[in-house]
Amino acid sequence: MSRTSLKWMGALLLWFAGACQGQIGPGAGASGSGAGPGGSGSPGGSAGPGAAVGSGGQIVSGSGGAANTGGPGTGGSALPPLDCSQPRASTTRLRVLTESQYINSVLDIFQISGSPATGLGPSLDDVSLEQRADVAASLATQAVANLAKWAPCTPPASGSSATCEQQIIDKIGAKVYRRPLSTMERTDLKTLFDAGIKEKDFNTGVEWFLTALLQSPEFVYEVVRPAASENAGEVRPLDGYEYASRLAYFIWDGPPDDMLTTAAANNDFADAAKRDAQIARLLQDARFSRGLAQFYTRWLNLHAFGELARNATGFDQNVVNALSTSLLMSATQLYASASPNIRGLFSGDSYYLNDVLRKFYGVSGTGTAFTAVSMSGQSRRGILTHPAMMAIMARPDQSYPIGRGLFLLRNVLCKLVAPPPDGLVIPPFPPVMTGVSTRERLEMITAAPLCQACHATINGAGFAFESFDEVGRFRTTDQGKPVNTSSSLAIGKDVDGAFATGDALLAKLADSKDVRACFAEAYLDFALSKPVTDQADACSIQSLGTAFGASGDLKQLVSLVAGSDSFRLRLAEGVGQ
Amino acid sequence: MKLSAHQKLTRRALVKSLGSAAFLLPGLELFERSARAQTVGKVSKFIVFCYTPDGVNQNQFWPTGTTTSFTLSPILKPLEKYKDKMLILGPQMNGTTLVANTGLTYFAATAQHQAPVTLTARAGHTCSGQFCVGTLGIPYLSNQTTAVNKLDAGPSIDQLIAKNVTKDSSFSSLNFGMHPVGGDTPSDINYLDDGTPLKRLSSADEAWKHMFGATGTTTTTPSMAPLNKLNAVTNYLHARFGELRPALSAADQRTLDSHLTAMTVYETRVQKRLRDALNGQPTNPSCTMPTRAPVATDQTSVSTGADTQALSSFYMDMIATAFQCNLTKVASVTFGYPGGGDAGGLRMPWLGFNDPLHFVSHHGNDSTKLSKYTQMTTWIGGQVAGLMDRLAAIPSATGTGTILDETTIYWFNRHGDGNAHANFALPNIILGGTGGYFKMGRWLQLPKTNPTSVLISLANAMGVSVSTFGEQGLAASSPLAGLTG
Repeated sequence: MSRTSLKWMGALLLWFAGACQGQIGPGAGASGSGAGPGGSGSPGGSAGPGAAVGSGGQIVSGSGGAANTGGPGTGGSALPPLDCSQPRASTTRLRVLTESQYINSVLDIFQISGSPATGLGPSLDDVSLEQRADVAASLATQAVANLAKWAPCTPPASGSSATCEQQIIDKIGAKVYRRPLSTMERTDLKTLFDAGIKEKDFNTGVEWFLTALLQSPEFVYEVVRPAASENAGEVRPLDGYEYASRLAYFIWDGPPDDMLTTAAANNDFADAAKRDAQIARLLQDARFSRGLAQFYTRWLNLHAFGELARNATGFDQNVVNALSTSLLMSATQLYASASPNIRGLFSGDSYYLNDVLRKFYGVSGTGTAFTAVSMSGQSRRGILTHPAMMAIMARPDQSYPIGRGLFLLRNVLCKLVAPPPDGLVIPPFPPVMTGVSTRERLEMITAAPLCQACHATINGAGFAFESFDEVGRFRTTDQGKPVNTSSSLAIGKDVDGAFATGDALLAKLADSKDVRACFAEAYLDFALSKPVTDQADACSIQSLGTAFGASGDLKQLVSLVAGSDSFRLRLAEGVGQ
Repeated sequence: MKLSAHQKLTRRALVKSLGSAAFLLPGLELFERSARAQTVGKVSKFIVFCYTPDGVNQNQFWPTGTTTSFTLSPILKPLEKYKDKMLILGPQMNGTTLVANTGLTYFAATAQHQAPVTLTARAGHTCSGQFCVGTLGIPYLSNQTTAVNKLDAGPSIDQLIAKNVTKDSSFSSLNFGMHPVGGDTPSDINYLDDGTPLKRLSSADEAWKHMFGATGTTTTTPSMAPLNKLNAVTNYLHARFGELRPALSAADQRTLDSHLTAMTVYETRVQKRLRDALNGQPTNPSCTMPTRAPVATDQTSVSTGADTQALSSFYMDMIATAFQCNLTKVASVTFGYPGGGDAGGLRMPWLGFNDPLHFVSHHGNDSTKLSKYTQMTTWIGGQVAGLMDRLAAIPSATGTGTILDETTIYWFNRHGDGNAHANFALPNIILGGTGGYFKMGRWLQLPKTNPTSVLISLANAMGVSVSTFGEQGLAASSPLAGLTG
């Protein structure tokens, strides 16, 4: 170490004297240890026994974390082998359509151009419902303006048409509700439609009809109705329409089309071959890209990407916007091939860049279009080292190995990493100092044994990405010090071991069975829109991990998820139970 | 045509200015009735909750001096002329060290800012990875922009108060937010009994439409059509809930019940508004209308802060109007959202820099950041003072004093120093005349104040009796001693 560095290191030591000394308030949770993750603590309650599903479907038990926090468990012992001899699935509850699903439904059914509604939050309090009512009324007006495009009949030029009215009710009502209407619904909708006609004219009837449809619980929620005869605890298939709806929102992020609802009417989904044929059709459709974008936005934590701000000169909103597009293309363009493989996600040094990004990252070429460009010689390996990913997981003026390490561990390897014990005094991250690398500052601040219990792993994973700065540019030095990306992992996964360079670790991901099992689990999470920590989903996770682990075929994974027990079946609760 | 700020309104002036929108003003006829109501004993009539996320620069917040003779700090300086209407509790609110099990790690996956804890005294719910599950079993992402941050139960203290004091007001509460949602952190503060968060009005247009039922720019003639449409749609929707509910599981039935309750609140409000418009309700001649905020709130303004000054001023006008016109007795306003990484929170470009609040709150003792941190929270202090100015300018309906005399303001935070997410030394203060309930003009320096006790004190100030509030380690069962005369 140079004299200058020693001097700065001394200054840092003074700066952070007392940092991470393990000051924990009363009642702090214990640090996790052992192979298994602890369970989630019950909210506000006392710590209790927990169980969670690890990657690969292994059920492990552990004692619950500290109250309130769902904090670190004490690690656990493996439970008896999973019994998957009988189909298993978890309960299915009302789910509010996401904003994009709501919008795509309206776009698909009424062919309204552009983005017809924004600000549809997930909350359904009275203020939100008033806004949803306004949005519904506005969309109804827009839909009426191009009635001829979507109406199943020719609307009357003047006066009204009972035949056309009934066709609109039956066909559009069924599209919006994603199933045929009940007798009572048909009657009530006709009453509503007639009231609008009486108020003014036929189009007013359509407008009132649509305003109501778009606020109906049958549209706002994805509904699964218990069968009248079912017993709680039974594992039952979704009915055809429920499955078609779940399938379409999963793969297309939009509503089922006529072919899916016809298949539902014919009970085709009970037949595996017919079901697979429908799934294959959905994967060929352009709407598949909408579902992919949603999955990768969720998996890569891109919801707040637009807020990205870094101090680097030239890193403006144009760069941020272009990075967002480029990153999603890295994922979705893979699916243009017949059998995209997960290896492609974690390997390769080509990225889709436009002129804005080429200029910022110093890559030659011209043109406003996003085209695949090699960023060779920069230790890049697929999506994780995409400049956008490196920029997200950084601070305004420096890289952020903690964030990068946690992402790799949690999102890519499904390694549960507990949050800091409740009450731990967490010191601020040291400011940038010339002559002291980010790695050195992080190592110093997390040197205490209590910190090392988790940071030995977190830091090690994060250091693998130190070749990239806070905006994702390749670098060989950091604050005048050579970048050091070597470390090791010991987390019970098949990527464990020492690595001389971060690139060596990243190279292991492309063929890792554990990465694939984790990815499959994330996809099931997305498909079900709920946690798959329920033991009832463990068999599906296990079988998905095995099949996808062998093939790595990304399209096949979507099919496998859609055909899995957890996706097709549900644990019955019974009416009113 | 726009109205100037605090222009005296007559029905004729309203009609002239707003066209038929004036007919949509709700609840004004109730003003006279309310004006005749007399409060018994020393009780506050109105309350405002002002939420600031991400803490304060502790070295620039606390006064110096003694309980009754103290000098205000830079951050509190904008409130100088209201020193006799201040009750400063800290610097030991929630103690002097980090307090465990009070929601510091709100979600299992990441340390968070726990805004929902502030007025609910509840720590949160079960989460795993990116997902959380509420009591009702509704799954959602632990992401503020895509998820309902539903608690297992509620209510927040503002809603508990609202439920008890709404009486003849048009709105149970009015909740405003300046860029209230963003980043990756739950930022809700207002919760119903079942743990449902309330959406905040987050633009001038939203607020105006919610309160007055129109944008103020339309001049259509009142007709039966909107009411007929609402009734027809409402009848249909209620029939759907009635048909669907019995066919569902118990958990889903509870979800629908919550939805239906909220829908009924909204429908009742709008039906009344439309009926009033048709009936031509009399207006209170002393009721004033605020000026519309001239700067639009959109995606761009959120990231630039271009609308923030105007929006804040507008919200304060709206709160003053709401109290004056008996639209509500309970209001809240939030200044940005907590957390959100380096780009999170409010931006205040007029201060000469564009760093957002969350970024400067993680100051690492950097003098430049600390200075910016101070400037930003000082500006917010100025907005609270501006609200007090507005309330002080409106005579009380009792004929004595002003609305400020009858109002309690709670300016609160979840963090002391945002740098390390400290949940102690909370810079929470009580302001206003409080109807004489609290003995104001003091800096109490109370030892280890329990913030939940303060919430109970606030409810009591509004005449709402609360025996216990909050859950587990956050609960309290008595008001804070020493606040009243």
